Parts: sequence; structure tokens; C-alpha cells
Amino acid sequence: MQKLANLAIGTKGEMRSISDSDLEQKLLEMGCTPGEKIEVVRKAPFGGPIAILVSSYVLSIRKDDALKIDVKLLKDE
Amino acid sequence: MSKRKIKIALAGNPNSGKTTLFNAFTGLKQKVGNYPGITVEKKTGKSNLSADIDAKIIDLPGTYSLFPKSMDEEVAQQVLCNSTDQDYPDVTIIIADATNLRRSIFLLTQVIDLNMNVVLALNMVDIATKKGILVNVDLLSEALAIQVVAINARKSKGIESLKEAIINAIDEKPKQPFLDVSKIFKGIIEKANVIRGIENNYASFLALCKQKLSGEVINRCALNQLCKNNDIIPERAQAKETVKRYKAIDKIIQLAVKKGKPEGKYQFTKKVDDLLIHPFFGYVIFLSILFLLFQAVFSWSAYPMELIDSLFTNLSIITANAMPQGMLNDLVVNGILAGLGGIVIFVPQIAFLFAFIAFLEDTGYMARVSFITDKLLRGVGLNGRSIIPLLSGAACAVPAIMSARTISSWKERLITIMVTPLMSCSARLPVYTLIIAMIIPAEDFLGFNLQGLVLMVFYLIGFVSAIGVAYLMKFIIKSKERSYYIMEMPSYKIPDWKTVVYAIIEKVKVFLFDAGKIIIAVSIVLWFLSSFAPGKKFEQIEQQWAGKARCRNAHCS
Repeated sequence: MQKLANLAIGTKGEMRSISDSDLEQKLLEMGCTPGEKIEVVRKAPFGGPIAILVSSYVLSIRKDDALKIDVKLLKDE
Repeated sequence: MSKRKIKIALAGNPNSGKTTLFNAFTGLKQKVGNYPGITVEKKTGKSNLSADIDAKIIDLPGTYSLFPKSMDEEVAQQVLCNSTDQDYPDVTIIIADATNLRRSIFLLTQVIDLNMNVVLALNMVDIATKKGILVNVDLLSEALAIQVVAINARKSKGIESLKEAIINAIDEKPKQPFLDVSKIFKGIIEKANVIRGIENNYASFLALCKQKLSGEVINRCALNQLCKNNDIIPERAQAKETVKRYKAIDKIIQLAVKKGKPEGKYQFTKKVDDLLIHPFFGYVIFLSILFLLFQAVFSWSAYPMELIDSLFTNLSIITANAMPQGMLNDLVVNGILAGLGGIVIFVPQIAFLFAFIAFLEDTGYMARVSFITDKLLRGVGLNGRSIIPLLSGAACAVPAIMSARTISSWKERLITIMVTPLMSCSARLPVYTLIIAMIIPAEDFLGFNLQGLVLMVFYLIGFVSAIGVAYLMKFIIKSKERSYYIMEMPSYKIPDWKTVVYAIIEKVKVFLFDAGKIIIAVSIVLWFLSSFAPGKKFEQIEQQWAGKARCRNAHCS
């Protein structure tokens, strides 16, 4: 299990849990449900937000928030 | 025979082509107003559905769900959940981006569960096919038990079929819910219905999850007690329901959507992003775009502005000569006409600037700008989303402030609204030029025109003071609310010129009528003050300088 914020660009994983209920609700309704496949596609410069690919669209969230998201790493297919 | 009038609400995720569909439906028969008490634009329009049915269409702000995170999402939720609202629709059109079907259907199924008559307008099927997402419209319609119409909002294709579907939906009977919350939370939803006194399972569930529903006084105590008695934590219940809903949606997606081979569209966005989000070039490109934008705005608008100026000068002379001499003449010429001229003259600048901003927004670039500036703006109490209001503030603060509504945090929104007027709006330019012409010599400084440099410094001062004041207010305004930045980064696309044109018309209207009213009133007051001011000396100065500056000054101060 890894924190989303610590993943390198290009890493693929599966959504697990979000340790903040407000944030969890917001991300759930955007489609980040447990088990959903994600990929880190971009990081903003200077510790800014990070962008992930989830259910075929790109979502950006702040790094602080990404620290609260647990992701299970997936091997490349 | 009188025509039947129905109300239609248009809802959907941001970036799903909702505004484009609204424009295709209503053309220029649109009205932009305000929701009472809040600065969220309310767009309504009229459309002919058939020979004997007229529709009033309300364009709801883009939202991802019925659990609102920002002011404009709240508006969408409240119109849809409140059957006593004057805008409560007979039929709701949900517009979905076919490339983003899973997330779009989430909102759709929530609206179905509110017992509404719903039609799904499936947009961008062509792009989805190119991306290798093949949607079977018939299967989707069958699985959701509602009418699904494939449309192309940009090319106005499928609008007639959509109109037919709406007509069919008007008198539909309530259907089975998509996800039966009364089965997930057994025995509780019924009790919540009783407490609310309204028989609507899903709305009662929303109320149970601490959602404010407008138009009703919710017995919060009784609902909280109900939760307590049944060991329900509202946040957990909401999360549980969301996950279940997505599971049900995933089944439908598996059935109705097949994966094919993509044609490399995502690759294109990726390559462009490599450059535009680059830690060095990203910012260089953004600043260069800004520089070019302002250059273009000022040089292009110079000609129409001169034209308007001479038009009003001539009009003043003609009116002054045509009317009998006296106070009334003076009021009309120096109060009203001067005020009107002072408003209309800014239309070219405002139109060009908003054209650029609408263009950049529609391509998807502004989402990238927010992405790379969020960290910097956050340091001073703002949000990546503040960048659009701040930029628009260089044209006119009134529509700029309106665009701050998408910022979900109350504190960040308030700070954005407070500092946006510090940006130098286009109406301040004549005052700047006047002052510079008076006190700065027309010399060269290090090879640059000194007056031009000072003007640039003026703009910088505006920006720096906006940032500085934001930083101060960050400490003054207290808020326990957490700030979020959760934003979709849409794929790049060629902007739709119609969307850009409609955006310009809308912003110019806001400026002319909302700001204009006040400017005219102030201009008349200033006329009164300058007409009855003591002393001849003042009058001389006034004649020399203030005549032109007055009305322009009136609206930026």
C-alpha cells in the first residue's frame, strides 16, 4: 500500500481508501471508488497539485490531499 | 388554442457541452439573471418544442452530483430537489459526455431517483468513438429505462430527436428508482419521509445526509435523532450510497460500452501538457500569452474606441445645439450622454479580453493554468481557480467577480472577490494615460519608452497589491472550512466559436446593464457636483482635463 502523493509519474494503481471523510465523499462522486484503476499522469511544479487518470478522464488534486489516499500498486500489464 | 408551456432544466457535469446545447436550443432568446441573494448567474431561454408546446429552459450550473461542493452546484441541487421551486422542471435533460460516461451517469441516476422525468442527451459520441469508447445507445437506454438521444451539441445535430424525446417524457409516470435507497437503509427512509412530510425517498435520503434542501424547513433534530437511533453516521451513509451507486453503474457500463482502439487523441493532450505544465516553460508560456493578449486587446480595440468616442462627441454637439440652452441641456449632454459614452467606449476592450479568456477556457488551457498556479496562489489565501476572476478583472471587475462562484471554499472565494477589483480594469487605462502624460516625460529609459514602462508598472502595482491584500486577508478572515482543489483537466479541443461569441455577448450585457446602471447614476451625481461646485478656477481645470476622465473614472472607483 502506498500514498498517492508519493507515487512517481506513470505509476499505475488501484484506489483503496481515503482517510478523510469530506475528501472521500468528494472523490467518490468523481468516480474514485475503491478498486478503480488510476494512473499518475502529471505533477505540477514546486509541489503543486498532481493529476491522475481515473475512469478515462484526468483529475487534479492537491498534494496534501493525495497524502490521505491509499493506493495499491499494480504491475504493468 | 393556447400553447402548452413547460419547464425544462438542463443539467450535467462541467465540460460536458451543456452551454453549447443550451445555445443550440435557445439561440439568442436567452436571459441572464441572478439567483436571489447569491452571485450565481441564472440563465434561462425559450424554445419551441412543437407547434403547440413552448418550453422555458433553465441552464443549471455544471455539477457532478446532488451533493454540492460550491455555490453554483448548490443552485443546481436546490432547483432539482425542490418541487415547489418556481423553476422546478417538468422534464430534466441530463447532458453526458460520452467519453466520460461513468461519471456523467452518476448525476443522471441521482436525478432519476428524485422521481423526475429525465432524458439523457449523449454528447460527443464521435470523439468517444475516436478514443475507442463505443457506446450502444439502445442498450444504454434499455438498462437505464429512460430515453437516450445521441446528439452533437456543437453541430446542432440530434436536437430535433431530443425535442421529440422531451415531448414523450412530459407526461411519463414515475418509474422505479435506479438505486433504491429504502432497501439500503431499511425502514429509515420511510421515517425520514414522515419527518419531512414529503414522499420522496431520494430527497429524504439527501436530507438525512445533512444536505440543505431549499423551500422547506427541515426538522434537523428529528432527522439527527433518527440517524442516532439507527446507528447511521450521515457521512458514512453518503459514502456507502455513492459506492453502491457506482457499482450499479459499472454493470451498465460493462453492458453498453465496448472498448475499441483509440486513435491517439490522449497522446496529443499528453504532448501538449509536457510543454504547458513544464516547471519552467509552463510559466514562460503563460506569461507570454498574457503579454500578447494585452497587446492585442489594446491595439485592436483602439480603432473601435476612437469610432465610439467621435460618435458620442458628435452626438453631444448635435444634442447641445438642438436643445434649448439651460440646465436640462447641460444635464443631458454632460451628465447622461457623457456617462453613456463613458460606458459604451469600453465595450471593445471588454469584448476582446473576454473573447480571449473564453477562447482559452474552451480549449482547456485555463484548467492547466489553475493547475500550475494553485500552489503559488494558495500561499496567499487564493485558489488555482482564482486565476480566471483575476484575469477577467483586467477587463471589467463585474463579470470577473461573478466567475469566482466556482471556488468551493468560502474564504478563498471571498478573498478572490475582494481583491479582484484591485486589478487594473480597462476603464482605468484612460486615467493612467492622462496622469502619465501629465507627469512622466516622453523620454527613453534604457532603450524603452519611459511612459510605456510606467504604464506597465501601474498594471504591476495593481497585481502586486491584489496579491498583497489577499495575503493580509488570509490572516484576517477566519474560517474552519477546509479548502479543496479537485478539478477535472479536460482534454484539449478546438474551441467552439459559437460558445466564445455567446460568452462575449453575455459578459458585455452584464457590463452594459449591471455596471452601466450604476455608472450612469454616478455620472449624473458627478455632473451635479461639478455643475454646482464653487469657484471659476475649478471650472477651468475641469474643462481642461476632467471632461473626459470623469465618466471613465466613475466606474472604476
